[in-house]
Amino acid sequence: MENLKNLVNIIIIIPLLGVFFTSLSREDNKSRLSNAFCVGVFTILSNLIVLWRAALQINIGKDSWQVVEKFNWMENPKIELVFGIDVFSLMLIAAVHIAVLLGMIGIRRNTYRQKALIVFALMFLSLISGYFLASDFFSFYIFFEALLLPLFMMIGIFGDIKKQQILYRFFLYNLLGAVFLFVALMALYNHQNVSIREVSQIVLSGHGEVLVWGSIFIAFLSRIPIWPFHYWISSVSVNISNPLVFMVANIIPLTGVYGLIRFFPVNAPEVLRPYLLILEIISIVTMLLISLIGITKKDIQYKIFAYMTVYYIMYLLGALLPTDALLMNIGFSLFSYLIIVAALEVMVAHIDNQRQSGEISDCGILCSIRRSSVVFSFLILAAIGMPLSSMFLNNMVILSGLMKFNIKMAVCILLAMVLSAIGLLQHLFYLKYPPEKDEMSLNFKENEIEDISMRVFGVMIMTAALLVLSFINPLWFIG
Amino acid sequence: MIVKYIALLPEIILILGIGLLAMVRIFRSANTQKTFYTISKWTLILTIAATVIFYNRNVGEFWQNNNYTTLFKICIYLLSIGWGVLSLKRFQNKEYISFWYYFLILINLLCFAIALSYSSLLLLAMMLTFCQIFNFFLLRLDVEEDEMSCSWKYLLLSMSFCLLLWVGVFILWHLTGSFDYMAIKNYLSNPEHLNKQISLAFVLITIFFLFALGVAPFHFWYANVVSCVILPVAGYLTFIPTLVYFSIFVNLMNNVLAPLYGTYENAILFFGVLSVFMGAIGANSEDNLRKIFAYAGLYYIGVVIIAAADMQDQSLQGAFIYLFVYILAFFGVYTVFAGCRSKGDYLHNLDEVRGLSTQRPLLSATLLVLMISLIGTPPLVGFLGKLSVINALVVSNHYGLMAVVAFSVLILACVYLRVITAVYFEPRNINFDRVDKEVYICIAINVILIVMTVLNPKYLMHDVEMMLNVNL
Repeated sequence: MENLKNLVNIIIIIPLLGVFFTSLSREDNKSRLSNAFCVGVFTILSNLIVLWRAALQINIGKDSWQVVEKFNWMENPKIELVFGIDVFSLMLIAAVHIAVLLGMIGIRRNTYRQKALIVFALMFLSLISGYFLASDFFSFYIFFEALLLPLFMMIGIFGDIKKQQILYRFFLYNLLGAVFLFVALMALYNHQNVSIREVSQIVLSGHGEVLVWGSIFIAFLSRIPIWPFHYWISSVSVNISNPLVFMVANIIPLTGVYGLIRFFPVNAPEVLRPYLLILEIISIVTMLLISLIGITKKDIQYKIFAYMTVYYIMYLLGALLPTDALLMNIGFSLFSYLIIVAALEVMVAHIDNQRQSGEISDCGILCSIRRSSVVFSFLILAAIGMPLSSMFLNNMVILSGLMKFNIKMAVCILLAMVLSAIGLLQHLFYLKYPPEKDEMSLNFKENEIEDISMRVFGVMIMTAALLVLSFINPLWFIG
Repeated sequence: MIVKYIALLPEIILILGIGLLAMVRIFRSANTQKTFYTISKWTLILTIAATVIFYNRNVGEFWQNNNYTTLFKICIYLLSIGWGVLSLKRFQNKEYISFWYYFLILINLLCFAIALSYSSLLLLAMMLTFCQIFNFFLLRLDVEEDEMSCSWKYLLLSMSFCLLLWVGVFILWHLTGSFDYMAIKNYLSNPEHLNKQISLAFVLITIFFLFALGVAPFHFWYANVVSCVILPVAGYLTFIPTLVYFSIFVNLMNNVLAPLYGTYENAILFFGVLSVFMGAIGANSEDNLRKIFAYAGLYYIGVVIIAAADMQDQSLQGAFIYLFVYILAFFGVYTVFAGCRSKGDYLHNLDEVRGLSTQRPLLSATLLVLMISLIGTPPLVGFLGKLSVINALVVSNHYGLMAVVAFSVLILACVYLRVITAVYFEPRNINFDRVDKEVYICIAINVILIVMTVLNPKYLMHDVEMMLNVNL
């Protein structure tokens, strides 16, 4: 346990050290890969090794949060920051690290302010790791709000947002959510810090109950693209062409889902029950609408966004069921889901680059780039739930859990998932099979289109292997 | 005999320093801008040393030195030294004689020190009136002819409010027969003595302090004054008077006018809430950077007033922590302003700092961190201030005010987002001058202070708690 204690701190500190060294790194235009990029990749790989060491220390059989570190921060008000770990949080941290690593590989050739991008990406990694490791209400809130800074800067500088109003709304929506959480925190706090796992057991009276639980719910829902909070993320996501920024922006809904899972692991508070039905209806309508829009849109970014939204809402509804039996399934599924989407984004960015540089249509483009075709097809099939990753079995378990409690809701969710899968397959078909009359797409010359390099292909093969391993045994890395 | 008056040594050093400055100006011909800065710096360093050594020595019943006065004195002296370094560069670049600036600053500091320590309303009113007059001269330093009207307006306004202060003080003297704090407090502690005249005196004195602090609706002068004066004066007016006036205000309300305060607590709260909204909305309507931060300052002072409104231990602790944090952050912001120059001119408008991050990444990063901190985002130092204030409001069951403070920051955040957008997301259209090393040194010190406070906020909390325990 002593080792684990040190490792938990290190998981947060390593990316911060990476931020420091990346900031100091010198811009080098001569070499193919910049110093900042190398420092970034090295930092993430180092932290993945630490995560693996931490995984070996965790007692898998122990069905509880393992609190490993306390830090007395303030005396008045008395605040003790507590960090802990379990398999669920460990898997999410690992998945986010791998997703960001893949995102970095996607931007390795981008020279525009790459150093700043990597600095903010590493800062984001540190903060999100802290968020997943936070064990008390205060540290949870600190990381919840602090995440906004790197996110805002990344989207602002690299998000290709034409209208500043969109950017402002994004920040203000999220800040509003954080303010709600802060209000709930201060109302609950009452001079004693509370563990987040005990929050739902606190007995409150009358209006206080509605205020506190309502604020917490609004805070987390503000991060999930459910109506009326969907606007910011949809307007931000569709503009982003940078795979790393897209990935980071789309990890934010995960913080909302994770927050609800941690705060209300078994049951939502009684006072919110009447509102839960409304939330479920809104969620399902959002899922169905967004998946339908995904089919109608030609833009792959929107299709991926629609797909991600549908799955996030499915995880949310699974988390809100009056049981904690699905927790690990959600964790295993999320692990593959994040990696698949990140890898998919790298491929989409590559195809988009080829399309733009060759000034050609991307219809049928995969016929000319075989390695990309193999990887892209694998990822789309894994994303829609084929037995290629841990999503396959675990999504089935989550859906069966949803069916057990509310069959109508489960059918609607299944329908939305099918629709989002159709959207992705539609695009795969578009990229692989050009219509015969489309002269533009038939005129590809082999030289004009560049396939992914062997190195990137190797990384993608390793990613695919990781996904398959997670299908065979989700906890393979623990042994 | 000398030992009896040793507590006055810091103020004597200040007087000697002022005298030396004047003598050098009169009798020495080969003076540079640095000459006056050096004399002022060493005067202040010696004053700080004497203040620390004799931090708890008193002279009779009138001259009180304690943790409370010492902390504020040290803060204003340190801020003056820091800001003096950055101001020097301005005078050197413009080849403008720095004598009047440092001379007036030292005199102002002397007046503030006397006002802080001397327990007499007469001397308090005199010193604060002098400060307002000296501010008038400060405002006129090296400004264009067409902007002189700003200083005259300020003089007219400040003298009007000083008149209110004097009327209030003389009403109290007329009724109590004394200017002494303790005598007035004893007189007011008898409920039978509380009448309309006393209330009028309280209101007049309070209005003066609200004006001096720039609290809404008496804030109308502040943003204009700060935007039309030279940067050294704008910076000075932002940090030093705010600290001093608020500390004197709290001292008066707790130790002299406490029996009356409860009646007007809601009115003070109203002014606080008004300042919060006027500040947040006003900042959004401006494009001038100094005006933006002047209105932001109005917002912060509003929060401080709200937090301190009930004058309880916890509330005052929250208010003072917030005040220190906000002054520290504003010092950093003004340091960045001192580094933002193009062709030798300081930049005023939002349009002018577009793309600053591409050429001056360190300055931009500092501004970014400070603004995010000022929104109260954890784990930055602004969060400590926000936490202290909100905690104080929760403890005193002011949930409505807690919501006002927590949610109004969203309005203020909009203007900071505009600044961040200009600095980071927009293309650069001018070349920025090389940044002086003094600016980087001040930024480094500011960052070290912030990091130390964030990592171990117990020191800040503990110091403020000790300060309040002794005096209030």
